[in-house]
Amino acid sequence: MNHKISLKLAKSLYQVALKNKQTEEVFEQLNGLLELFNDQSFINNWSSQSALSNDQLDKLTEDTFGKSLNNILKNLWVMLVASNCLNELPVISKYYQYIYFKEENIANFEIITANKLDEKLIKEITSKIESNKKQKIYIKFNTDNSLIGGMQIFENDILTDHSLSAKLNKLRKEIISYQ
Amino acid sequence: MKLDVKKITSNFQEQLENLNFKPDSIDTGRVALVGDGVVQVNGLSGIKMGEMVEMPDGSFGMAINLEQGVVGCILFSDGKTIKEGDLVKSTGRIMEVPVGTELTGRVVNALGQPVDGKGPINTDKFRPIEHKAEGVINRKSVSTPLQTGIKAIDTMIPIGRGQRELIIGDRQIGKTAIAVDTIINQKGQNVHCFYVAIGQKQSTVATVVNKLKEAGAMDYTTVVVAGASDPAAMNFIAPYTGCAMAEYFMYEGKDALIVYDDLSKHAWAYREVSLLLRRPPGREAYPGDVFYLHSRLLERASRLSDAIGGGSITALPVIETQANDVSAYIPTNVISITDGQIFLESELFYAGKRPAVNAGISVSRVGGSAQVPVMKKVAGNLRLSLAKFRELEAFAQVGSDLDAQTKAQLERGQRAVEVLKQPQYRPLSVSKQIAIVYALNTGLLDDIEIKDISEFEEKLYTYMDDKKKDFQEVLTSANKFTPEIEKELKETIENYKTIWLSAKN
Repeated sequence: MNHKISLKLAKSLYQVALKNKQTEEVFEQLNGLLELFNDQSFINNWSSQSALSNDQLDKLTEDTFGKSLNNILKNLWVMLVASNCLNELPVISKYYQYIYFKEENIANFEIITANKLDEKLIKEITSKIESNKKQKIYIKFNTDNSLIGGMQIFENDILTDHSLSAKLNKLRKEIISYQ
Repeated sequence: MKLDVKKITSNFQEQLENLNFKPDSIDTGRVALVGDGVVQVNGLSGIKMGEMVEMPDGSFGMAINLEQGVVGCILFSDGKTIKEGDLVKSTGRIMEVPVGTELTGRVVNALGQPVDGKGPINTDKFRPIEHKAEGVINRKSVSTPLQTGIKAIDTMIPIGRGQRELIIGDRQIGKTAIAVDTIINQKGQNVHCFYVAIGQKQSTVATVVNKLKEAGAMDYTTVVVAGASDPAAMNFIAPYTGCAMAEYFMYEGKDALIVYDDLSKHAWAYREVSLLLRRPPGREAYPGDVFYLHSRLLERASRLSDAIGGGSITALPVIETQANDVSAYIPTNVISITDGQIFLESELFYAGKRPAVNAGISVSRVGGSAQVPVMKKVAGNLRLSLAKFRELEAFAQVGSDLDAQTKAQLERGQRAVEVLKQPQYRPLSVSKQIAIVYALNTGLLDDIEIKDISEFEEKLYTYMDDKKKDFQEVLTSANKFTPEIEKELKETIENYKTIWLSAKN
């Protein structure tokens, strides 16, 4: 699927969610749906159901997700399975997140550290960022052991790199230029 | 000796702590799609058009497509290690290349990196590859000649410094030869030359470089290479790189000559990149802005006003046609942008009339005002007499009985064709060109057999070098073709002709 179509779908999804005042719920549930993509066999099984009729797909979706999944997302799920485009959901989700944060003026933070942070440190970092920002914030914590130490802070697309790997990289460049 | 591991560790830690490390905030994005030399990146919301981006493998790309939520970049590497989800960093720098005199005599790629194995280029000067062409106020009209050393061009299609003259024709009929001869002829003329090879075989480029070396032309020439095996992105930026390098000299008040060999392949590379970036295709599948692609490049060739140094860039773009069709899309575009064209015809080439310049449809729109005054006077009617000859030649093929005047005109025309023949890599000085064209137009060659003309010509030049060195200077620098100059020129030719005819008999 072309990224422009994914972008259009994400825009439409946001409009419908906005009309139903469910933008935040859709955002959270989309993040939950993305976790399902870690289980590739589950996604493959679903993708192979595209030959089913819409009624059968509705029922299968209802039986799988029950009442837990928002109706808007249920419809999107059925549509993607029927058109054999379920693999596009992560892209649509990415665009939805982009639109959601932009439209609702939310600062999106992602903090990547080499090791998992303890709860106390997470709270400390969160409150520090909250006190500095005069807007709604969303923070996600991730780990990447290639950083060696320190942390990378993403605010929307802007990266501030405090990692040890960045420091070593700079040292490497200085040594090369010195040579 | 035992290694003191603790000491080594503490030294390294000290080094790290002493490092002046202030993390910058950089705009980033994630690779959404990669393949065929292009990447599409989600994010990079603050990126500028033409900005360089750093890929996770340390290679670079350039942003050329900015859309909502996605940025299209071209890659300057094969991109084999880049994968979906990789972090792409913006550099904040518009694509720029090294410039300066340090590049003279070097062969570089489209990024300005040396590819000739002669070590790094130590310059601290850089210029952006995209630069707005100078406006009307800062320009001056073309007034100084740029001699190609080719009789057929300097006499009938003169080129001035700051002009854009297209070299157009089918494959393998001497387009590059004209460009290379022109570069060779700039020796001692204070013109810095740039030869930009776009989409050519490496062996072809190596031949050109060797020819330039043999002729001593690499002392003032830089070769920019984007080969046929390089990514389309490299072919796309190569002419802009060459132009940026030439602009350095222009803004220093010097003269530069740049050859783009060739812009057809440049248009192909741009078409490839555009289609991969999913831009809508137009005529012949080229994107809508293919005219602007070449116009913004060729407009940068200009003659600057004295107020800003008076430097110039003369551009010789090359276009390859298919079966002499000049009405195809890219040829018509470039014809309309340039200040004239040198049209090479395959029929003339295969008939042995080389360089195969078709004087009838070749034109120089501004070069006339830059032509050496004596040459202008002497060669003024050469184009007309050649045109008349072509007409009569066609007529003579069907008519058997010709009057004396027509016969004489035909004889003169055949001599003109013979005089305009010139071997490759043998550019000729203006004074010698003036002498031979004068001899032709005044009938001094009429009693010389056609087959002997080239021999006579060669020996006349040797005679002029031996006996008339100062007079050659007068011919080149005189503001007017005075009766005194004409008298001496006539005497020189007649004197030598007497020697030659007596030796012949």
